[in-house]
Amino acid sequence: MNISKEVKRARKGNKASFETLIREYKMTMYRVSKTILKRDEDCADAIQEAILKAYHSIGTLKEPHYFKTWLLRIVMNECYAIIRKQKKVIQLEELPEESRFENGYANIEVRELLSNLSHEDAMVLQLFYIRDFTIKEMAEVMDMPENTVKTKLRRAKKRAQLQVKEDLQWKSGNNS
Amino acid sequence: MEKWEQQLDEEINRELPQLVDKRIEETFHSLPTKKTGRKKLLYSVSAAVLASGIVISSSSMSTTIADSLKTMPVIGSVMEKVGGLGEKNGQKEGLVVSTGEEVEIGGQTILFTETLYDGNSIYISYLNTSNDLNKRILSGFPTVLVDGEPLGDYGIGAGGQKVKEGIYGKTMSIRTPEELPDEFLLTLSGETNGSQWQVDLPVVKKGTEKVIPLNQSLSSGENHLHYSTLSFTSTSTRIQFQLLTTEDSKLIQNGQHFDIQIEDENGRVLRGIGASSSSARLHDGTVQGQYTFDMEPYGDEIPERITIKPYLMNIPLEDEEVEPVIFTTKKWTGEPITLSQGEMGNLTVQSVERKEGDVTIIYTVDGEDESMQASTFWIEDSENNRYTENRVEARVDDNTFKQTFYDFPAERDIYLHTTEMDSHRYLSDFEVTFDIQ
Repeated sequence: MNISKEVKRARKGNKASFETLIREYKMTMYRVSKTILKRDEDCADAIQEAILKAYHSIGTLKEPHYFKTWLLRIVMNECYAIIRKQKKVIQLEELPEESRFENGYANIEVRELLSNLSHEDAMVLQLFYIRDFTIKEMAEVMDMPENTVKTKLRRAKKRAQLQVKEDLQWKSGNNS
Repeated sequence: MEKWEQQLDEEINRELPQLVDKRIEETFHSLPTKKTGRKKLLYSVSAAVLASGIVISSSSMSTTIADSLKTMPVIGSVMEKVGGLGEKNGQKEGLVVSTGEEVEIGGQTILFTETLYDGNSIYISYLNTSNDLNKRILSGFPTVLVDGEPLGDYGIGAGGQKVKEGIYGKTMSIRTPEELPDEFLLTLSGETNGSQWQVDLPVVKKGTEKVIPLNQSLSSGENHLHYSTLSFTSTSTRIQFQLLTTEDSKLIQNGQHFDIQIEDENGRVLRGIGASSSSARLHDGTVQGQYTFDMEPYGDEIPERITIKPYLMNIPLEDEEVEPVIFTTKKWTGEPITLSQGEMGNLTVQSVERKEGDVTIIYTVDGEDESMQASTFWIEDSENNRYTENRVEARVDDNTFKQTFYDFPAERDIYLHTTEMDSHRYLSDFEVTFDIQ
């Protein structure tokens, strides 16, 4: 698919081209949303809002080759909007925090690992491991120079490795 | 990759859950249709070239234009110079409405002279003193209102020619699938060079329209084509059909141009005037396209039989490495000369007449698609300056065409140009012949 051409068509109001673009990136949209939100239902809400906003504002996108990162930034913004909304709801209604882990023991370990990292380290790591998402695109989405992203990535990996070692040491100590 | 990295990789790169996928599709259905610019004009220049019976004695005319027009040798000849195939015929049948509206656009005075509407397209003609103003008007893509209500779905084409030194006759065509009243006030407004402009033009539907329901469906694999109507008006021969395909059908892929050729019982291949299409992706993933093709009009003599031949042409993609176009160039020496158009056929220049900077060329084409062959022709001077912008080739006879190029330097030689072209890839499963009662 010629992304640039489809973006140009979508910018002119071609709905079919816009849908084609969204279908092309829907997997990445979901994976990015999942790095911020835990529940698939929330991811669906964020993606839906992002699609609507992107459709209405695609005319403002000047460079077609930035479409992907432009779209993913909208997705991320919608994810944070949902978190802000949920925090408000929880505070007002004093609802208990629901279980964040749904997908088996191994994933719980990974989630635990991420939860013990800073928000930025966790975000950098998760975005890095999304397939079809380059460091250059990460830099565009995070609005940082590419080298800064690489530095943050190295640090985040180091901290994750240390966390895993501590965890293993703790586990082995516990077992002995 | 360490174990935790593998786990993270698996965790992050999950498949799309059905509920998210379903929500995305539902969201598509809730997206409104954006109307402006949705139509695709395939022949933007020739689509709009208009014959206009110009009344140049209007008291509201700009002084500059009026002064220039007073010196014109033949009053009313403007329509002959700027008219395209369809509009010439519409004008000949007396369908134009004079307007005489004057408006300032981009610092220049424009005189809107005529409108023409026969139920298919709206044509507007105007005079001005700038050769490039037409482009600037269209670059702002004017807003179109019918009796004060915005027209939602429409396409605009434009063209024009020099009428005489310093005066240009310009034309614009507006196509819309929307139902229009038989008589209405057409308002065009826009912004050119930072200034707002607006003009109101009376439009009256005139002329006869012969509509023939076709109602024939043909299938080839997962592609289904339904021919719906054929209509003959004063300005065009129009064919409408629907194409139902899958998303990955070769007929609608980028890089493929879907087109049709219409040939009558005498072997005459009609020239394309304009085309528009729109498509929608249905819930089950199929793509439904609506196509309208306008070809040159027949006038009073409607053919007994026409054959419609859909075909595909490769259109190189922007980022695609393509084979270079092979140009055929020959210098005019005063004798008939043939230029190869590759698999498509040949073009033979029969005569060249030079008069006060105007170069009028009579040429014949022989081959697969006369209309395409005839329009793939231009001239250059010895400095490689190309002369094409204001061309409107007219069919003189079955396969004989005439084209006039303006402002060609008297001292320079004329170089004749065309290109080699591949044969059309005809879609024989969709070829059909209709008898016309």
